[in-house]
Amino acid sequence: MKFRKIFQLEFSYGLRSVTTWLYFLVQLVLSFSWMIGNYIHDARDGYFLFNSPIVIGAVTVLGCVAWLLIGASVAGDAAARDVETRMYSLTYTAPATKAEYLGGRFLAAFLLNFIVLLGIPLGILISLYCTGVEPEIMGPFRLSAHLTTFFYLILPNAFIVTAIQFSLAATTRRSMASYLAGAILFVAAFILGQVLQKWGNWGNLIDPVGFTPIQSQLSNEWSPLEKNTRLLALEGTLLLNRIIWMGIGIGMLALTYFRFRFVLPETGQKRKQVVLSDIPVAPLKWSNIGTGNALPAIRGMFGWATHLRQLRLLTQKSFLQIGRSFTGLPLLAALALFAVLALEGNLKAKGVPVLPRTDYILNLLTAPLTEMDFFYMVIVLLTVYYAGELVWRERETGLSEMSHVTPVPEWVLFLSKFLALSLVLVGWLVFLMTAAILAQLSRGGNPEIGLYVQGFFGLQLVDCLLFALLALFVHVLINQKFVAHLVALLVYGFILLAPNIGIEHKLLVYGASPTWSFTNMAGFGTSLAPWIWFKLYWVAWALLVGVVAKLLWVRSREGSIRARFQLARGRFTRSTTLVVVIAAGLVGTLGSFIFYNTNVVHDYTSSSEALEERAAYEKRYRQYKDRPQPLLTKSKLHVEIYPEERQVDIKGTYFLVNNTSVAIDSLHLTTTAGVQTTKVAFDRTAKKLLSDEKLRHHIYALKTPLQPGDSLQMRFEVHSKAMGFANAGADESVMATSVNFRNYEWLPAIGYQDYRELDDAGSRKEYGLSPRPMTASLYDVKARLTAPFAERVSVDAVIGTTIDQTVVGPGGLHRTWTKGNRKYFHFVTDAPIKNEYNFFSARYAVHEKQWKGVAIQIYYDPSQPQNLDRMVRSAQASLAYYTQQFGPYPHRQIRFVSYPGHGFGNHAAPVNITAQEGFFLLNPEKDERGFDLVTAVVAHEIAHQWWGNQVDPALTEGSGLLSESLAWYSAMGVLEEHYGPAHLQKLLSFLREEYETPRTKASVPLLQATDWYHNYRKGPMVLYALRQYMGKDRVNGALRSLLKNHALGKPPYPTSLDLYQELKMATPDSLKTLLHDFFAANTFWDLKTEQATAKQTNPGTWQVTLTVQAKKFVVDSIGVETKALIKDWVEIGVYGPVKQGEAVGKPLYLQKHLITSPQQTITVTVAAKPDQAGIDPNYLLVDWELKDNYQIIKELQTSTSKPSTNRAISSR
Amino acid sequence: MKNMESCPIHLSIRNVSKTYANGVQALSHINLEIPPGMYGLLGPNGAGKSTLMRTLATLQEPDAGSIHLGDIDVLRQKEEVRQTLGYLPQEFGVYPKVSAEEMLDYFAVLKGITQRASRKEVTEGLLKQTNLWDKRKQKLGGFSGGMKQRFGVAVALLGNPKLLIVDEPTAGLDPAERVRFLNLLSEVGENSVVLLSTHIVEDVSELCTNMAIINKGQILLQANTQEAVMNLKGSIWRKLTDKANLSSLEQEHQVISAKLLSGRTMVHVYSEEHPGNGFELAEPDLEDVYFTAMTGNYGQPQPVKEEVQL
Repeated sequence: MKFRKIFQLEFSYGLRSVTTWLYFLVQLVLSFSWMIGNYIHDARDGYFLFNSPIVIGAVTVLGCVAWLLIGASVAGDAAARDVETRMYSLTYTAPATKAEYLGGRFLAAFLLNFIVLLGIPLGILISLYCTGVEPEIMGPFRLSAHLTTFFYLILPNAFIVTAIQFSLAATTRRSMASYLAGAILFVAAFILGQVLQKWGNWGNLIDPVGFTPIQSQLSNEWSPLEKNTRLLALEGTLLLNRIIWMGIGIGMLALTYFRFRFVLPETGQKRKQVVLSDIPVAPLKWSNIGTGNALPAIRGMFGWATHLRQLRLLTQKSFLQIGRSFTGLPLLAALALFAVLALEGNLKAKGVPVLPRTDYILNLLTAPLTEMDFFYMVIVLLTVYYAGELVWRERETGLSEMSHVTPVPEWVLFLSKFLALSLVLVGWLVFLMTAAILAQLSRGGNPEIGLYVQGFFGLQLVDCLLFALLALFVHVLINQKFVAHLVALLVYGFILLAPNIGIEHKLLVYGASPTWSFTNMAGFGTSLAPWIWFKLYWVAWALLVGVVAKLLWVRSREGSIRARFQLARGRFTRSTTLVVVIAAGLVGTLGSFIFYNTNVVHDYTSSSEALEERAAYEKRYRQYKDRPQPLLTKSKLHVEIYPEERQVDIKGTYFLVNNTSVAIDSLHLTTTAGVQTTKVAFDRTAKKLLSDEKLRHHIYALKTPLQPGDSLQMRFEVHSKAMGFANAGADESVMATSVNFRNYEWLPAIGYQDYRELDDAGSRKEYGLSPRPMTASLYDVKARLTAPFAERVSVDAVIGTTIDQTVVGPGGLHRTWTKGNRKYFHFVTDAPIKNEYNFFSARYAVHEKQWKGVAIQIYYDPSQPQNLDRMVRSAQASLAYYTQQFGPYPHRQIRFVSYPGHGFGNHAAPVNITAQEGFFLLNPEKDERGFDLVTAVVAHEIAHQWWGNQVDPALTEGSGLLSESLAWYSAMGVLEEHYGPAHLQKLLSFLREEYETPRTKASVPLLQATDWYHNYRKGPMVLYALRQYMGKDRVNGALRSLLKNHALGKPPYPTSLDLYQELKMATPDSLKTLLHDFFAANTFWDLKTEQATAKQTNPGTWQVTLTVQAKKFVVDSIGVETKALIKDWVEIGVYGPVKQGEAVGKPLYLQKHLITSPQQTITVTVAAKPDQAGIDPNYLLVDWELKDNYQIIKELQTSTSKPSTNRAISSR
Repeated sequence: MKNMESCPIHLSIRNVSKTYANGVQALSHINLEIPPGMYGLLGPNGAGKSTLMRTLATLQEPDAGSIHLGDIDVLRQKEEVRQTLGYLPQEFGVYPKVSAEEMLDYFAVLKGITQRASRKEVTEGLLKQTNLWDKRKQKLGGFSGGMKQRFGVAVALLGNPKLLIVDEPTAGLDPAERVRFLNLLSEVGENSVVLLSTHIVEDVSELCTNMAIINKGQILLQANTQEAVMNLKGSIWRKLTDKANLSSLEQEHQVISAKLLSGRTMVHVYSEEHPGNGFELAEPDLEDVYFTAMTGNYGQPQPVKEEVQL
């Protein structure tokens, strides 16, 4: 009865509270917008059905994660309201038992939270069935999909989270504790879950709301078929997760029940040191009564000096209030430590340690307000929390009526809170910087303190402070603590996600700016100026926000909007007006200046406008795609680079040849965005028929048609001057310290440009384009006629730059000279190259070595010389191996060219391989795996000079097999031949690391695959396996033949089918099935050694018996598995004991056996004592489960074997 | 900065009204002239005392009317009022982990006393005055109700206020503390306006030269305390009677109070002439003034009629 009453009161109190329904509404709106704003696009692109169970589940867990942060007041209030409203003296003394009191309160909180969470399914249902979603992306309505989500996710989540939040709030008697609980659970779900994914199931278990397992199933673990049809099932880690967390929830509740006592908070455990009896009441004295002068007659002084002193004192007190508490500086210090510990993982690229350089660490430890960075998200959450505490402290302690009547102006009050919060944030950055420096020193780095100070306190702090001011403002404005927390979080959510809802202009998103970057090579480059302009603009806004906060500062009991505005009017003093005028003026002028830069100097195109433009281009000009056009054969360029002026002038001549069989009467010219293309002229009379400046398509009619075999010259000028900055920041291709641009980014091109078309199905549909596959089908014969920039051209380029910089251009450097204060470089290609090349200009250092008449040059930043010898050595080995195995290298030089950036990737253009600075920071010597990734990558990139730049695949499915897979396969040969088999094994095991990443088995066959895993991992692995099966010469012979047929780069361009054909011809009949399984079907093997035993038969002879399991199955692209009959030759290996420092023991036996049944016993005889045995010990067949291939051999000590041993001894 | 050191100032409240959002009229056309010295504001709980006090202390806005302290417009020149205001709210909290001295020092700065030496002098003086000097290092969280109240007084007295507003200050004090506290107030009252709101009649009768009685947002009586009592002389009659007779007495007479006295009931009635019936003339005191006013028999008769139950 009492229980019911307690429950009823609490429940109806919650139902009447606005916040409950506000939370409900937030959940509803959030899930609705996730469905409509995010998942519907993926559904339209064909990834899954819009109403599939996994989508419903994914949105539900997203909602739950958001709810962790915003909904904590429900549980916190129910648990601690009595203490906070000081009702406890009545409720605690009422004759209700603990179970009734806590139980009623908890049940009410649980139900209220449950109601809040019902906003999620409601939002999902509305988005699915009330918005007129096209039926093509919808499956049938399945009640079970909604019910499973409801019972496996929403209901348990509501219980688990409420229990934990309630327990914490009840035991600490502070409703804020439930927010702390929410924040911890958020970290567990959103951060730890993701981080721990690498360690198997831990990520799934540590996540209290099921976010991690569901999201990883959605992203890569489930096949398309499963995504569309599979229901959530309470099994495996999800079941375990639910059980564990329900257990934790119940455990916490039980603990709360036992620890909770109906006692006044002041006398509760911790505060015992101040119990009243310890302090005797001060006795009264009567002696000094009536002396009159006993009262001090000192009066206050008022004015600026006083206000400043008050500001200092208030700031100091507020700072100590926040800083000294556990959630203040100690927590921030711990967080900084944590951030630096996380560096351990972040200072690695593909597992290779990176040299701890200051700019690199600074890049890792800073993040703009608009970016989702874990640590700065936590800082933002803390900032909101601190702001609430600062604004509310006096009112919560009841001191406000006394302090509010003190003669302190509002601006001092507000500013002191802001300064205190700023000091706390400065504290965070000091911790972070200190920790970073220590971490850097411990790794042998050399901290540049000046750069750290600039980065943390000059740049990062501005973002932190802008948000701090906003958070304070929200708390002042809303004047309701929890609602203000919620609003502040929503505002932050808006700042983070504004671009996703179509608000992309950074003038419209508080605190947003283009990002700054600092690298050793380019310094801040052009990134700092736009950053500063935008920040000044936002600081001006912040000033206005501060003034409004001052005007609306609450220091009386008047809470109504009308009264607050009336008060604000009274506070509008002359100096306030002055500040407002100045700030508004700054907002206006800075805003106009920025707008002038982003929208007048630059074309501001939102991403949707950009899509629209691409669609329009395709609609209007695709008709000319197959129109015969002359082919570019030679480009003669004169390039003048003015790095300081950010300007480049190019004069060029294209030599075009009609290599078609018909006469060409008109020429289609595509120009590029962002540059001026002028003075287009031909060496014969031509008339401009069309000049579409917006879509940049131009048509010229030739007076006399160009006959087959005839040639034509086209002159043009391109003028590029980077002016100011755009919404995305300043252009970085031409900076004072570094210049880097590609030919096709600026120079005009002939004919219709396929690459400008929209690819993804959703956008194509949205903009009314006919559907087509993202990548052209492998069997689309017409598609084999195009490959991006595949025409082979000779380039002759004279490039001028400032005297202190060095230019890298296409081909060989013929001559350099100086004219005035400019330096000129003449580059000419020795042999035609793909029409894709860069121009670089920077203060490069050059490292040069030779290999048989080929110059190997590395253009690098002088501060990054660590890997030069390693790179050169690999380049030499690669050139030697590839020329011997595949065919000659057509040029007389090969270069690696560095350009600014923290990335690690390389791009292999003909002759010049480009790499960001990050690549030069890799430190393979410290790699625990003993693997030299730098050497391997260099070999891979140089292999692209054959696979990609000579054999240039058509842009169809499977094209990556011809470039990336062959490049890795070739690199394996280099490592084996020039570095030894152990190096090859390291590379293979590096490539196999990818098997541990959970992913769906569903896929098209390798021949058609377009994804990273198939191109970079499976492709090279099966080529290697093939080589092990039929010999290196056969495989390399096939590749040689492929190269011979396609090295000239003439259409039709090669596809994976051509490679397959060559391999087929080289494969003996016995392995044709294997070849098919590798390339033409998505085949998996499941190979396992169940048991391995050994028996010594004779002295020096052991008989090894293996029981092996072997299954084979084919998985199609949507995930349907089909069993396949196994009839394959599979290696069986027996190995001796593992010596220290080696991965496997000495091989005693390695032969291929024909495996024809799922279970088989194999007996082999070896000549030394065996230790391990296994099926497919070298992992040649596609089997992601590696561990079960081997077994340790059990030695059978049979009675019959003993005498034989004895005999053997006696006979000796 | 205004020079308010010399001449004592008046607080004048004109036509002040306030209605809360929920429709409760807290103040209705309040007019008061408050001279320097102690001024008592007497009224039952919920009469509007605290609303008036908070309005005077710049914490609340009236809907209409004006308030002037000397030539300071209290409603518009809040900053100036605060510079010379001492306010002890009815209820207040403190930071539990801060010592009395530290907290008082903090308030001294807020009140504009920023010089270290003056701050030291002021805090020392006030802590001694309020008898907290020995306890100055104690954390406020360990203070008893009376000590906390005394600390509040110290805060209110900082900066030698010309207007001191104390809202129900004696509620939590033991008798000795109360006496001492009132003494302190009257000392302040020698130079300033001290407005004391209370529902305890003795607080006013013992100290305040002038007083007002407020109920339901309206001023029932505004007078010199002594005169108010004098005016009732000859009009208050008393009788010891049985409880059972009370209702019949109420029918016949203007009963202003009835108190249980060792099993019987002492009834006070208001009457210009002898009510007979065994009544005897009583020497009026301020309590009688209060009850007379509350029952609408005194001075400016008001339409309010209330049952007073004791």
